[in-house]
Order: sequence, then structure tokens, then C-alpha cells
Amino acid sequence: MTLFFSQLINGLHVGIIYALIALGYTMVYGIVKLINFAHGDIIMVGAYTAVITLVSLNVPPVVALLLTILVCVIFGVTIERVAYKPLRSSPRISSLITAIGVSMLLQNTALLVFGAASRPFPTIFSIPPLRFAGIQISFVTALTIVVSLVLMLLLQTFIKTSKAGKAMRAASEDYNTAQLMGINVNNTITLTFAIGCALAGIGAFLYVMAYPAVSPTMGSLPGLKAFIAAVLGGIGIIPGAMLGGVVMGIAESLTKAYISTQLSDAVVYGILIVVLLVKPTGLLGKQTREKV
Amino acid sequence: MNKKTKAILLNFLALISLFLLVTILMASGMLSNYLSNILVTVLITIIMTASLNVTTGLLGQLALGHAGFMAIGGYVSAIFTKNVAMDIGLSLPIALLLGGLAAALFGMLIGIPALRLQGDYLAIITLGFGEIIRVIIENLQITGGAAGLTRIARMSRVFSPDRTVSNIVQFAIVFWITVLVIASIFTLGRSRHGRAIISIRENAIAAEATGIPTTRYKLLAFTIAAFFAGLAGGLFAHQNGILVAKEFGFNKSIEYLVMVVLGGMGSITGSIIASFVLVALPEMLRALSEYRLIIYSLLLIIMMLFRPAGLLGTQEFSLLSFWEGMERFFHTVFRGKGEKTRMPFQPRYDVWNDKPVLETSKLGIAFGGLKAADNINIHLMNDEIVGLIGPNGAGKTTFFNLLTGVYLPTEGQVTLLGKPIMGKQTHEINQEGISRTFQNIRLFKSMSALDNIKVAFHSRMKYSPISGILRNSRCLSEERGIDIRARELLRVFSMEHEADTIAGSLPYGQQRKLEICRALASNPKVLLLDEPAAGMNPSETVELMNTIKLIRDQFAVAILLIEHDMKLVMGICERIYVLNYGKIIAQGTPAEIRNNPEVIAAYLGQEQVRPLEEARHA
Amino acid sequence: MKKRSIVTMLVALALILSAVVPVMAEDVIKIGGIGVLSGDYALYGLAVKEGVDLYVKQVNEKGGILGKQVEVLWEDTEAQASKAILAYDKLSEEVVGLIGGVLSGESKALAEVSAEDGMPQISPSATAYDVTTDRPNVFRTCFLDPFQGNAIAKYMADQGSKKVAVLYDNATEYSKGLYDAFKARSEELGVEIIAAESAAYGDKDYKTQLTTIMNASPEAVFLPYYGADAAMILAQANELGLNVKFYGADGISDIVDYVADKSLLANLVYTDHFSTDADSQMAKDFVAAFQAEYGKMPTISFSATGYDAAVVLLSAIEKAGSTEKQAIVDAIKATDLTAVSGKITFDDHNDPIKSAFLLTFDAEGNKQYLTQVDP
Repeated sequence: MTLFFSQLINGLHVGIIYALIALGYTMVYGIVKLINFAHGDIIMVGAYTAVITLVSLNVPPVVALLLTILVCVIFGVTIERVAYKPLRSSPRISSLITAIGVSMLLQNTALLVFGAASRPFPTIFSIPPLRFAGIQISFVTALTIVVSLVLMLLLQTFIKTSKAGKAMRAASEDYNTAQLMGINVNNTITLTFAIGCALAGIGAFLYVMAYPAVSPTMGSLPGLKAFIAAVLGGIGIIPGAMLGGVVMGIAESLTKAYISTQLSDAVVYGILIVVLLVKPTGLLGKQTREKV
Repeated sequence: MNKKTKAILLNFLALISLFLLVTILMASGMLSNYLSNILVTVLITIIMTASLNVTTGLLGQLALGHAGFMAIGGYVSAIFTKNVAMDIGLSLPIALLLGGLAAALFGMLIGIPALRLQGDYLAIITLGFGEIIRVIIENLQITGGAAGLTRIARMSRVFSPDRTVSNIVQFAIVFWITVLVIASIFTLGRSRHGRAIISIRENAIAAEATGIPTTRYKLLAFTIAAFFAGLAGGLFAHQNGILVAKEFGFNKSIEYLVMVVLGGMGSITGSIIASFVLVALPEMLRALSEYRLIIYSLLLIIMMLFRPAGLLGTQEFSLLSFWEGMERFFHTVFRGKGEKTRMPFQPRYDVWNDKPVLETSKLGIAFGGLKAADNINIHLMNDEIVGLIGPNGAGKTTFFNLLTGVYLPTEGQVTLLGKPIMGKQTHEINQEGISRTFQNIRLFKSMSALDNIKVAFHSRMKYSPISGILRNSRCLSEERGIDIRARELLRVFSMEHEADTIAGSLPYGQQRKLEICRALASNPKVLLLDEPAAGMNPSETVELMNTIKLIRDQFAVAILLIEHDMKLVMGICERIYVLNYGKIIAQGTPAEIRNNPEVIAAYLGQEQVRPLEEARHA
Repeated sequence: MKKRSIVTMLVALALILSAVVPVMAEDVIKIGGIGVLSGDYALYGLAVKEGVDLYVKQVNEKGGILGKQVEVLWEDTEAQASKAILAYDKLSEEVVGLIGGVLSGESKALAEVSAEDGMPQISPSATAYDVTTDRPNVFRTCFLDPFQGNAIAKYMADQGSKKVAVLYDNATEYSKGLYDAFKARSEELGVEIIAAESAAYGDKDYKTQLTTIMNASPEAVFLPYYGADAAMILAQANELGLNVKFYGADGISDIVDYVADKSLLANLVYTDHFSTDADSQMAKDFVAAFQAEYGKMPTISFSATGYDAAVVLLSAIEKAGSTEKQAIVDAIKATDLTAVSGKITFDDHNDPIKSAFLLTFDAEGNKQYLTQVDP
């Protein structure tokens, strides 16, 4: 039983990071219906910022975190303005391919600048694992879970209550009508990218604390998994992304622990497929019928 | 020598001379082994992108697991040639076919559940299946697991001890298979089956309502794409001699997707050009090593920013006539004797002069607690024009959706020509004899006006996908038949000069007319018109009234129409039903309805007083 | 129209042709170098390249072989079998011999095609057993997975570790091959594998597997991984509080670059092809020359085996006295020389008969020589 809870916590740790990244996917998707494939690479940008500020510039971790968020936001907003905005009225697949192009550009530029070898991320907290009713939780895990939960609550409050949050919800509900209602949709989209990337920046920091290696391609796998998590939860739905991420993480962990480590990816994708077949728009998605 | 045969000959000559040119270059050593290997890679990539274009371009569904099918084809065919003691000349064709079939089988198995989903969710499912295929291959004994399958016969060596000769044989095999694949995708795309697939991309709801079994055609497109990808996988396996599952992951699928989009979705020639450029370019940029991928990704972004629809869009560019020549070539090869024009199959309806053609009894549907239609009993006699009016939100369109099977009624029955049709699918109901138009026009926008109508003839033709690919006499005679009929239909509506115009660029009134025209092409007994006059100016409306009368007279069809324009309704309808809050509140002749107090009350409570007033003075 | 399509094709062909104009020079002996030079495994290929280039430079400074200068043409495989074959096709008509591939998978693909031409091929680093099976033209200058699997299992047994766990990557040939080799030998030596967990390729999260392993309480854990992944595993094991002895094989040799907290490495023992502490004169000269050339230590031992592969190939060409393929292959087969990583002779399976070094690290991450295991 203790083992089961330990594995559950392992899954929660991975899952909540997926969830944090998935939020960026889902918020952007909600408004511009774009699968932002470059979102995973923002994690990479954040991770490099973190490692450079911490190791080479030797700044305190808090400053490094703030700088990481800042750089991620700048990258995200710039990408949106330069690469995605001109394509807003184009076929959706064109923007998808552009996003893939941006993702490749970020990865290959990083490859050129930093080289292929991964860089180690320094240990920030040397605190021994916490023990809790026989279950051992590493400090980083506990920190990640707490920070992510707080962020999600903040985000939810922001979206539900603030004016900008309402604008985001309106734009996601009906882009054109929101524009007619006097909402500056362009600014709202920029804000959405900024928030998504800020979360990705924090996610990057938490990610490299748990997986202390920074490399040019490090973003693709968590990016892909987070995207799948967003779809699993119902893409475009913010609580869906959180739920999807956590479900994915726990499913992965429990599959590895109790079913098969070799086939874990296949099993996780299998779960995803079954969920989508039963609930074609994801766990929290609403079935919307096209009006005839 | 007539023009046609000349074109065939020229095209065939072009292909042959291209083939001979490369062969000579290879034989003379000017084309090194390296370059001929790249050329073969390009050809295999062309098969991959062209087949992915069937799902992504023609069907319009994003598929992210195409490399998985390639893997299946590759492994199946390689395992076959490795384990069968047969001359490679014999075992290779069988292996390739087996690989294709295995991939097609998986395509179908995956397609059956997956195609219930839409858009991005479908994309994710294909991604998931692609990855599952990879993981399973990695864990099987027979596929060599992580180490991969090695020592597969290589086409560039196995045919002759002389490397150049073997290389030429390899090129010949791959070249002609690619030509066949491209030609079949192309001919299929222009057959009734291809039109059905494209119509789903254009507007799935309209396609279904026009009699296209959309699920079956999605599946067909998926299966065909998988088959060709499997074929390409088989060639790939016997090109390289080694298969490693890891190479068939998500990134590979994305690579092909990028090529399809860059070339232009729906454009096979675009796919060919993109494959050529995107395989050759990285090789040429090898000297720039670390910069090449940066250049590649920048080009990708810039290309998308300035040509979002890809290199060729959906066009086939100037190679179109080339392909037409190919078609004719196919047709001369597979032509049967005594070709004739076969007119489309004409459904026969019994005479229903005394009984209603369409009848509903106690029809109703509830969405949750809301009864959007309740206890509706109507009937339509032969050749009758009946109006269905009611305030906004009264449930008129819902009623149409119940009749056409878009919604499944929760109670009651619909009887068409004496047969119950409730519970049938939309496309089946269309084939039974009910056609409709839509409130917000749903044309197949990027198809020509003529093709829009041809889609509706779909269920009145019989030829199979294989005949479509081969363009045999059956296919050609039927196609010729519907071409005549479709043009006739356009002529009735004085639109024959617009036959080749792209539907989306027609003026609004013409689009409405084209939609009606399309609805008639499936030879219905009952025609449902949903606000045909919406958005029309008075003179267009008058024209429409004449058209509707003409339809009734010429096509022997009962018409039920929803309309807010009272002048039109009162002008042409013999009888009128009034719907409010999902219930029929009145019925009768226009005069009776005009004076019905309940109807006036229903409208007075709403915003529709003025049209009623106007109609009274008309 | 038709003319146009032909013209288009011709132009395209001309473009490709012009991109690869072969430079014909008679006074140069060309050898090919094929291996992974980009992507996640690039470090290993680059290490090999540095070793090979160093020896070739030294030879050229002394006047070359057979009176000619030697040139190495490098091609990248991007760690893909199909790209390795493309690279081979590109080089095969120009070069007289081949050094490569670097990873076991790409080496097998290369062997597949080089065997058809009888092209002399020496891999400096492919440790999977069947790379050279039925390939009379393929050799290597590194020891094999069964050998290092055996060496590790034996060392574990000597250290008194009877219950061990393994964490491996099922989708990577190197990792899977080592695990199989280790498993085959450990049972005979009385070392019991009480937990064998695998991870998906590319996955960075090993906590679940490590938790399972920790629950089985092994005395040691074998990690047949490359350095970057192993570093990740050690960090996560440390986070979870799994403090046992870890073992690795040759691929782990570059781990020191990926670990922030070098003290974690003190728990790691691994097998290597070469030790910078080795006392042979040739090894010392190599380290000195390497440092002079590149300004760093040859931390990845594939630099040494790469250097040796060049030694073997060029000596064989010299001995054969010609650049005829079969003559070179015969000369390689008859090799008997002492190189940087030890004495090299080839057995029936074209494998070198040479020793493995067991190394560990001190708290600063410097490699420490433990012992040497002879075949």
C-alpha cells in the first residue's frame, strides 16, 4: 500500500508538470484554435535561461526564476506576433505547420548556440525527503505539487473574476462576437500567450529541478505529453487541462509500476484512445453539435 | 491520329524518356550510387506524401500517425522476404502487396473507431495509434525488437552481382510503382468515390444529406492511404536492408505532414514537388551542417507566412493535362468493348396520387427537458407545395432535421411512400427520396458547380473504386451519363454557363439555386427547402418563386419549404403549416392561415408582424 | 508541356549533380568516417572523430602512408540506420576503408552494406555482439557487450553483491544488448536479478521504476545507459533516497559532464576501454597529444578506440601495400600490434582480444582506476 501511494505521488509529480504545460496549450487553443507545437520548446528556452542565470551569472534562485518567466513571456509573445498572428485567417493546418517550424527553429538554434550535449542543472535545495505516514516524498516533488496547485488556483481566480480573464473567456467562446463587444482580441490573445508562457517558465524551472538536464530537444517530449493531456481533458477547457495532466501522469506511473514498463507508452496511448472513444471531446469536454 | 491518342502517347513518352534518361545516367556512372539512392528515397517519399494527401488533403482530416502504417508495411514485407525461400523477383512483389494489405487492414481497424471523432481529436487518436504500433514493434520478437530487423534483401544489390544493373532495376521498380500509385490516387480522386471524399472535406453535413455515406468514405480514404503507405514501407525496407522501429515515430509522421502542407493540401503534384525538394534540399545543404536545419525551419515558417495554402494550393498546376493524358492512357489499356454512355440509375417511384408521399405521425424530440418538436402530424401529397412557417425558434429546422435523420426523433414515426424511414441514416434517407437545402448555404465551396451536382448523383452510379482507379468502360460510361444529366439539370436553372465556376465564387442567389439543383440531382420524391429566399432581394425572390414552381412541374416532386418571406409563402404554397414552440398550431390554405387568430397572435407576440401585413396587401 | 516537365526534372538533376562534384585527386588516400555527429548521441561520434583525426594528422605529418597523404571524409548518420546507409553510398566509391559506425545500431546497418562490397570497416565503439557476425570485412577496436556484461557481473560478485536490480532502455539496442549479456552471465556467477525495469526511450522520468527497484531493496543497480540518461537516473535515485552502488558500462563514460553534484558519482563503477591513468607509454603519449591538439582530456574513451581504429586501418593499408579492399581486409585480420587501449589481435569473430578497465570517480568527478579485467 505504501508502495502504491509512493507511485501515486510519483505520478502526481509528473502529472502536475504536464498539467502546468498543458494549460498553455489549452488556453491558446481555446481562443485561436491553434495547436502551438512550439510550446514545449518554450520550456527548453526557460530551462536554458534558468541554467545560465543560476550557473553562469550566479544569481539567486528567485531572481533566476523571475528572469526565466520574463524570457519565456518575451519569446512566447514575440512568436505569437511574428509567426502566428499573420496566419489567423489562414487554414488551421497552415498555422499548425508554422508552429512546427517555430519549434524546429527554436530547437536548432539552441543546438547551434549551446551544442547537443545536455547541461546539468544544479541542485537548489538539498533537503532530505519528507516522511509522511510511512510514505516518502522528496522535497522537490512536494514543492512542485504545492506551487502548481497554487498557480492553478490563481489562474482560475484570474480567469473567473478579472476583466481580462472575462475577455479571455469571451474570446474563447466566440472570437468574432467578442470583437464586436469591444474586446481588444489582439491584446487578449497576446495576454493568453503571455500567461501560458509564464506558466511554462515556472513549469520549466520545476521540470529541471526534477529532471536536472537541459538540452535543445528537452522540450519536445513533455510538450507532446502535455498536449495529449490537454486533449484528454478536453482541449480549450482550463480545468480539463489540469485534470488531463494529472490523469496522464498517474496513469503513466501506475502503468509502469503495475502493468508493464516496456509497453507503458502503448498503454497510456491506449487509455487516451479509449477515453476519447467513450467521450469524444475529452474528459471535461462538452459534446457540441454543429448547428445545421 | 486524334488529339486524345496523341496526348496519351506524348505523356507516356514523357514518362518513358524520363525513366530512360535516369537509367542512362545511372548506367554511365554519371548518377552515383549515392544520388540514385537519394532518388529512390525521393520516390518513396512521394508515395508517402501522396497517400497522406488522400487523408489530409482530399478527406481533410489531420492524420499524425502515417509513419505507423509505413512501419507495418515495411516489417510485414521484410519478414516475408526473409522467411520465404523464393526468388526475390517473385517474393518481392508478393511481399510489397502483403505489406500494403496489412497496413490497409490496420488502417481500417483503426479507422472504424477513430472516425467517430472530429478534427484534433481524430489527429490525436491517429498519433496514439502510430505510437502504439511503434512500441509494439519494439517489443516483438519477430520484428527484432530494439535491434531492428536486419539483413533484409536490398533491391540495389540483390538483382544482379553488378551493382549498377541492380541499382537500375531498383530504380525501375520504385519508379513505376510510384507512377502507378500517383496515377491511381489521381484517377480515384476524379471518380465518384473521390468526389465523395472531397465533398466530406468541403462540408460533411451537406455530403451526408446529399446521399454520401460519409463514414464509409472516410474509412475508404483511410484504408487507401494506409495501403499505399504500407507499400512505401515495403519499398523502404528493401531499399535500406534494415528496419528500426524508432525511426517510424511521431517525428517521421510530422515530416510527411509538413511536405503535404508545403506542397498544398489536396494537390498531388504539390506533394511530389515538396517531396523532391524536402528530401533533396537537406542533402544539398549537408555542407552547411549545423545551419541546415535552421535554414530548413526558417524556410518552413516563411513559406507558410507567405503561402499559407502551400506551394500549389489544391491545384494540380500545369501538369493537369499531363494527368488527363495519364487517365486516357489508363483508359485505353483497360477499355472494354462497345463503350456507351450509361445514364444514371433512375429510381422508380410508384404512383402516389391518392395517398400522401410523406407523412409524420406524433413526431417529436426532446433535448433534455426541452421539447423542440412535439406531436407533429403533417402530410405531403404528390406534387404539392407546402409551406412551413412560424416565428424564430419555433422548431422548423429541427423538424427538417428529424425528417432527414440528422436528429433521431424521440417519439413518433416518419413514413415516406408508405415505408417507415425513422432511424435510418441521413444518406439512406436521401437515397429513399428526401433531399434538402440548408438555411445557411452548404455548398462544396471549392468544387465546381458541375462537380457539386455530380456529388449528388453519387448513389445513382454503381461503379466500384477499382473501376474508378482503372477508369474502365463501366466507370467512363457512367461518368459520361451523369455529366450529361448534371449539365441538363444546370440548364433547367439557366446555370449551364457556370458549370465550371467554383461554387464558392458564385453570387449569393446563384449559390442558393445551385444548392436546390444539387438537392434535385439525387432524384427526390420530397424536396425540403430551408429558407430558400433568405438574403435575396425582391427580384431574386420573384425569380425563385418561378423556379420553385418549375421544379414542381418538371420534377414531379413534393416540396416542403420553410420561409419567412410571406409574399413567397402566400404566393406559391397550396397549403401551409404553422409551427410554434414545437407544435403545429394551425394548417390550411394561405387565405385561412392569414386570418387565423392563433397565428396572428403567435406572430404579434414576435417581431414578424410586418411581413404578414405586407403579405395581406400583396 | 511535356517538354517542360522533362526540363524541370533535368534542371533538378543538374542541381543535385552540381552540389556533389567529386574532387578527384590522385595523391591522397581517402578513408571514410561515418557515425553520429549530431543530435543526442553526437558526443560519442565527435569523440571518435577527434581520435581518428588526431592519428591521421600525426601520420600525415610523418609523410603519410604509401607515400600519400591520408584524408578522412566524415558523414553524419543522425543516429539513423537509413541515413547511415545513405552516407555509405555517398562515400563508398571514393574511400578505401571505413571507420564507423559509432553506435551499435548504425554500425550494423553499415556492416550490412559494406559486406556487399567487401569494404574494410572498423568500428571503434560498436559493442553489440552480432555487428561482426558473418561479416569478414567488419572489425572493431572495442570489447563486446558480453565481455563487459561479464566483467561487471564478476566485479559485483567479488564485491559481495548478490541481489541486484537493473534499469534499462528497452528500445535502444545498446542498452537492451548489455542487459541481455549481463543477465546471461550474472546467474552463473550467483548474482540474482531481483528487479528488472525498463524505461521508454526519451523518457526523463525514472522515479516510478526507481521506486519499484527501491522497494525490492537490491544491493546494487546496473544501469546500461549512456551518460546523459544515467546522470538523470542518479539524480532521481538520490532524490528518492536510493543509496546503493551503481554500475554502468562503457557508454556511461561521459556522465561526469551531465552531473551537477559530482559526489553522486563516487557510487558508480563502470567498464571502460581505456583509462587515462593507464601506464603504457603509448597511452601517455596519446593523452599528451590529445591535450595538445584539443586542449582537453579525452574523457570519452571512444577517442582512444577511434585513434586505435585509425591505427589499425592505416597500418593494414601500409602492410597490404595497396588500396585494394581484400588486401586491406586480410591485413587487418592479421593485425598484431599494441595501441592506445591495449594490445590488439582479432579472433575468428573479428573481435579484438583486449582488457576492460573498471573505473570509478572521486568526489570531484575525476576518473579513478579500480582494476583491469582480462579476457
